[in-house]
Amino acid sequence: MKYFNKILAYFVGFVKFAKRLHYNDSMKQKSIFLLSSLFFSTSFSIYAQNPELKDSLNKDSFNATLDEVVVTALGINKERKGLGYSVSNLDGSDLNINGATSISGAIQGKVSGVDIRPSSGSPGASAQVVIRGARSFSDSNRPLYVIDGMPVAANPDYSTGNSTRGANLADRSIDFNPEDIESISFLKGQAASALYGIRASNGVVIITTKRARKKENRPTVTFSTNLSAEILSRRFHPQDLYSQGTKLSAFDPNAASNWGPLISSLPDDSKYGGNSQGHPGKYYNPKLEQAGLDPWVTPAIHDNIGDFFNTGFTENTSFSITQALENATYSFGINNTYQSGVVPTTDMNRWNVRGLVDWTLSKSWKTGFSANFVSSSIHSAPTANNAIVNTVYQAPAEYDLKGTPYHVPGDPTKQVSYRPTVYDNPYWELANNEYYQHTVRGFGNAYLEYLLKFGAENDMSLRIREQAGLDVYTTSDSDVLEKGSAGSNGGSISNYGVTKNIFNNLLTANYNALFGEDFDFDAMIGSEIENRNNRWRSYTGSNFSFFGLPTMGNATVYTSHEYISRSRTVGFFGSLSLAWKSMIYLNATGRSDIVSSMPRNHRTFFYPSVSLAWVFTELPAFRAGSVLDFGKLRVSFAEVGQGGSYKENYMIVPTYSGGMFTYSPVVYPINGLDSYVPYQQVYDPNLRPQNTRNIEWGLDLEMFDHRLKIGYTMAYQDVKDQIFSIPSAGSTGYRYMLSNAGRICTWSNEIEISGTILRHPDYELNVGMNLSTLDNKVVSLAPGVESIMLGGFTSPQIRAEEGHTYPSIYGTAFQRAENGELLLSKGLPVATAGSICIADCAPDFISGFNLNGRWKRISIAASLSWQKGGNMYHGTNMTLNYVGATKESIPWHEGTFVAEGIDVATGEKNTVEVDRQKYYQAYYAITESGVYDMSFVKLRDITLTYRLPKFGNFNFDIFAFAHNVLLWSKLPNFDPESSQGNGNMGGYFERFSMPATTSIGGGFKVTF
Amino acid sequence: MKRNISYTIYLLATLIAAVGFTGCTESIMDDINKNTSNPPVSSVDARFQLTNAIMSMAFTTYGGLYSWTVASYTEQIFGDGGAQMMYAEMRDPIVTAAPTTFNNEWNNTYHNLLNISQIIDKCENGVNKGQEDLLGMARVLKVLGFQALTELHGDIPFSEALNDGIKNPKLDSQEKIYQSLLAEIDKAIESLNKAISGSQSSCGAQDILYGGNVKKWLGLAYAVKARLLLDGSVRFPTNIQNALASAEAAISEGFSGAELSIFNGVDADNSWAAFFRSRHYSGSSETVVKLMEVRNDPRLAIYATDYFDSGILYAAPGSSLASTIDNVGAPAWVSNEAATIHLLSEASLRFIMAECKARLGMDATEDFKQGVRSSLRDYSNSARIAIEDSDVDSYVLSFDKPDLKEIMVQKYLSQSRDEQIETYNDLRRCMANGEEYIHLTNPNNKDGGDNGENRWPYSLPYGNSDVVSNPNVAAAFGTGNSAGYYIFKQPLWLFTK
Repeated sequence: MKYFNKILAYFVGFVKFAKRLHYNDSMKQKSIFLLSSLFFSTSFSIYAQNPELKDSLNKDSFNATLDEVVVTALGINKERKGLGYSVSNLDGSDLNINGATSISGAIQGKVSGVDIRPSSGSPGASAQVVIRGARSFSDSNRPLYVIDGMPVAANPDYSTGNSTRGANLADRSIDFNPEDIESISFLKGQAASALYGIRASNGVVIITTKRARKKENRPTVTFSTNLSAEILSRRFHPQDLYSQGTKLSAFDPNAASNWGPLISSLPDDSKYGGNSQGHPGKYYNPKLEQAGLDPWVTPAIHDNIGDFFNTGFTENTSFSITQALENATYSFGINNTYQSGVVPTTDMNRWNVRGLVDWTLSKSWKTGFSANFVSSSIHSAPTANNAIVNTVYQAPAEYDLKGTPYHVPGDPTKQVSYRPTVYDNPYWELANNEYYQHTVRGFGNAYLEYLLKFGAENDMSLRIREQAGLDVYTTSDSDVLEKGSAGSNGGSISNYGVTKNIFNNLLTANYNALFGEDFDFDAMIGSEIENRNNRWRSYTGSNFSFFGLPTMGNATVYTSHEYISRSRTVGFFGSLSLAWKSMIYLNATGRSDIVSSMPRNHRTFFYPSVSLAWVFTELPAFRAGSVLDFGKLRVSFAEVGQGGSYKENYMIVPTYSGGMFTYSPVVYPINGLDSYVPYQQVYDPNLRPQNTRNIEWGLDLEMFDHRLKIGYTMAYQDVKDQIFSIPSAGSTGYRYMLSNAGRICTWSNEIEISGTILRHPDYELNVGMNLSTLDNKVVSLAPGVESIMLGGFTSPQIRAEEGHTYPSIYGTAFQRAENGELLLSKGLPVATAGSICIADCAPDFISGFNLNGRWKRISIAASLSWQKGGNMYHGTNMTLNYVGATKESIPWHEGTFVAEGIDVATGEKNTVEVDRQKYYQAYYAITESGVYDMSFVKLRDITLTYRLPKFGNFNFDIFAFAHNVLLWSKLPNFDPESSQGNGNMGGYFERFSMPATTSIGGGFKVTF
Repeated sequence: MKRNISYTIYLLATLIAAVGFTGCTESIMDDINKNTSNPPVSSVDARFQLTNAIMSMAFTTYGGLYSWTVASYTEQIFGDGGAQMMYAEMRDPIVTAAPTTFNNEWNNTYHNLLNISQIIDKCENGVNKGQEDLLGMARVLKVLGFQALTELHGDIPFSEALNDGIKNPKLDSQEKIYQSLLAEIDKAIESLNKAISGSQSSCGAQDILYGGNVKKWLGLAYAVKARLLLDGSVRFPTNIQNALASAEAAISEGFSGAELSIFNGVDADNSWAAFFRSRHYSGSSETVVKLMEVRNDPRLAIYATDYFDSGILYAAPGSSLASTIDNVGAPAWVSNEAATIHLLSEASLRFIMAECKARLGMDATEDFKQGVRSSLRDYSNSARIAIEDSDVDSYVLSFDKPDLKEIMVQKYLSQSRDEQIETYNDLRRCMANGEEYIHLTNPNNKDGGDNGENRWPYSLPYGNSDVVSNPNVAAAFGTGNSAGYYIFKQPLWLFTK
């Protein structure tokens, strides 16, 4: 309370100060300068010096924003003015729609408090979206997506697990077409989302699709298309001086590194050089002989990376018809998105068809439906341990990777590669292996609404709405490794997928009443039922009889699994709202959920929320002549529960894979014999709901005739009793126990500022910025548990580490003396034997800057992302350094030196002279060397549009755009927005991941 | 009107509640949450658990990363490939002392022991009550599992392990564990004897080791006991006599090796072959080659092959060839996916008997020769390369009255096939006795020359899951720069006088 008074006092002081400024002309320039110097360059001064410009502005359009209505929980429209919590919302026009193939791509950098980490620029790549930091250590932290009032599945169906091999797997938000979005709201705090209950603790993204708004007597037809080309946003340029080998003195065509002699000196090599063997100026490469070529070649430099990557291509075409009639509106649309990636054979093809009808039957009755059909297919490529780009990036410059046949003549199963065949030759892989994901999906809902107005002056209303919806889809994925693959010599085909059937029923009753002039009362009750039926299946065939037919039928060993899971959530909820004199808004909600996935007698949860908004500018003191047009203080409190997936302890058929194995060496049943072992996780029968508490306060200000809007929100979130798979000591016999433990506390600060600098019928200029900071601290895990693994290798891993922000990089570190100097053994760095927490991943802040300008028929939109700080493990840089493939390694190939550091044995300054190469390799063998600062500045989007003069009923826009132009990053050689994993580790762990891309393109839109 | 409205609201509230509540009673919710795809623990017949108890013991514990890595320490295999096995070959603490190195094997062995303890429970009190044959088998496997863990890691969670009520099991002393295992193997023998006298045979083909032959299990139980006794002979010299007696009991029960032969290269691959197929990290070692060369050993052609056509058949331990891949040749059996895996070979038992006899001053020739013959047969079978009978005979005949050194050398060569864990025990046991029968040549065994710090691990580091989730193990593992370095300093209790 003391703090509150203080803050209030400061605030009142600020307002008084601002007010005084406003009336003091001599001070006016200063105040404006003060603000403009923050971020608006000099535009405000122009405005201030040109009063006529100010007058030319259409004031009504600003006042309209005051009464702006936003979509909140359960589709309830509320005046933004009266909200006691922060809701960010964007119009379709605010999004980076052109050239974007996913919603996450379209909203990047646009909203504060929403962290979007794309895994790469490849077609269908997953993106991790987290609102206000993680709430769960190991479960999904993704928000709930609601489209046209119906919750829809958006999480990945399959986790990439530790993400150490295989292809990225898409999340289901890839099924939504960003072009369909009319507006999108982000319910960030729990008070905002409390009405959604158990699913909403990670926030909610509410999407309203495009529909007709203005009544017209003929339909509006829109046709738009855009095409773009994708290139690597940053291309790696390897060193091209030194050849393959483990040491400078000898070429070695089998070596796993590029520390060999100078390429130009290869003909002098004692073993492979031609100068001494009758082939002057040439050298012998046995790999060429294997490939059926003349093994004696003249040293040459090959651009293996340039040879490999394609120019990607994206096409996005939409067609829609909308109309608002007297009693009905309809909207039909069809969209196709096709993208081919920079890595050959990768692509995505998606078709979306949708229809939407709202029909007012009478004064009281209304009905409607929304239906969406999606078919999406994605071809991707493997990453990390069996990455396709691994052997591309590491290829020694003297080896012509593309020009050399990739298999032995006459035997397509016998690969030829500069690297031994534990890695696939990328061209062999392109020709033979396949990673395919396919989904067909239908989702939508229908509703019936009854409205009754009553009371003396019809000042009361009752609205009853029944809505039922379905989200049904089937994914059919396939990983095909042809006979001769490095990962599976005999070849294998794995077909897997899930059929999900989600039914949702929502019944609500809303009561609204005005009491006198001052009070507005609103009450709502309702129930929701969600029923899920999932059937998972996986069929694997391996050891193909012969090459060339990698199908189920040609396999000789088969395994299959099916798993059926069901769940039901039944919720009852209510909300009460009271507004007084458009100044004070009080809102309280409560919801009780009953979930099937918890143990008996632990299934019922209740969570309350309460929020208060005070529009203090309604006070008489602010009425006239104030610089402040609108000011609101808001505060809210909420609690949201989260359930677990409880099961009775069970047994499974054991599997053998992972660790050192690149395939499954033992597959039950063996000789017709099956076996069972206890499942590695044990379930706590006393599981209780996880509890998230959230306190949020904020301030919204609008000033200078609503030209400048500032929103600030501070939120504190305390998650206790997390339900998660607590890693057990292996000696318990179990790997995990599903139970309650741990605590994660998050402070977040979000600032959103937007300003209209110029507005005129002929031109306008709007700028905006948002900035978020997040302190997402793992306060405790479980008794005796210091950290838990989210993914990665033996070392490094991404972990949640007690006492650190979430998540952290964990692995071997340099042994250091107390003063921080490296400890050296025989002149070389030494690693800690155990893995430790090396770095925290969380950035200092992420921010976005937006600009929208128009001059007559030309408009420009641009957005920029700036992330400061944060760490990631970049395995590609580290490995390429270790193998001597980077340009950075060039000075380390030759010579010796005495490294700075303390000798571990003597405790004195190191005096041992070592090979520079040895030192460099010892250094880059230690995980800590692979940790990089993630700071970057990226031009997310710049779009230039020209609207042609209207021709009859035709509006014709043409536009050009560029996306994801990496302007600067601390990370060398690669784009920091490329990483492993489609879950919580996403964004922070990279190893030969699919690359990020920049796209440049253009298109047109016709409306008539 | 107003009344109507309130009625409507009441009616609605009732309706909303009614619609919801009927669908969410506890029994409906129980039914929805029922796992229809996997059976609950209590209902599964433990015979089905036995199958993987055997498989996991052979494939993961005795034939997995433990043996691949200690094979580098014993110089029976050359670790190469520029990655993990190279670091092991370089004796780099980044691998040898890291808790992450053996984490999978640590976890999987304990998980298998949990499975085995469930079998024991079910035979004592559950669905398999009274099945003494299964109980005896499970007890033998329990001893094998804990024996591997304690002989590799030292003091480990034992009495409080495998209990989901105890999150942080304490460490038990190796001495206590050793005594408990001896008691346990006696209980196994007791159960198996009961089963034999009661003509019980309940496991059939689910027993993938012996096809339900209880007598064979009894032989194995005696053999395991013999090996366990001999491993403890530094601490308890009288064990030698007892080990010999146990070994003789094993032979009299018809013990002819515990050799899992289910591997077929189709749905079950030998672990060494699966590892080699995945990684190409196992090469032939000069230490073995030199021992074979001086003996004109017919196994040499099987042990060192030019697998990669590189002309390099083997490498000297610690050589820089460790950083190359697909270069150093490998033993022929690592590319045979259908090779068997030993829990305890016939040859090993014969060499145990020979060693005991030699140490007791008895004539060991016969057991020694049987051991050598058995090993030659095993090399030949595992590699699918014939050794002529005449070659076998002349090789065996070349040894006349072997001394203890030759016995240990032959045991070393025999176990180079897939029993390197036992060789690792033998080397440490002999070190404790001040005996050196096998001269280890890896220069990296000392950090920085002969006077440098020891880098030959006396034991293996704990598994990471316990280091990060069990404060008792974390404390034993240590913190800071020297965390994990205890493995270079302190030999295990069992292998110190």
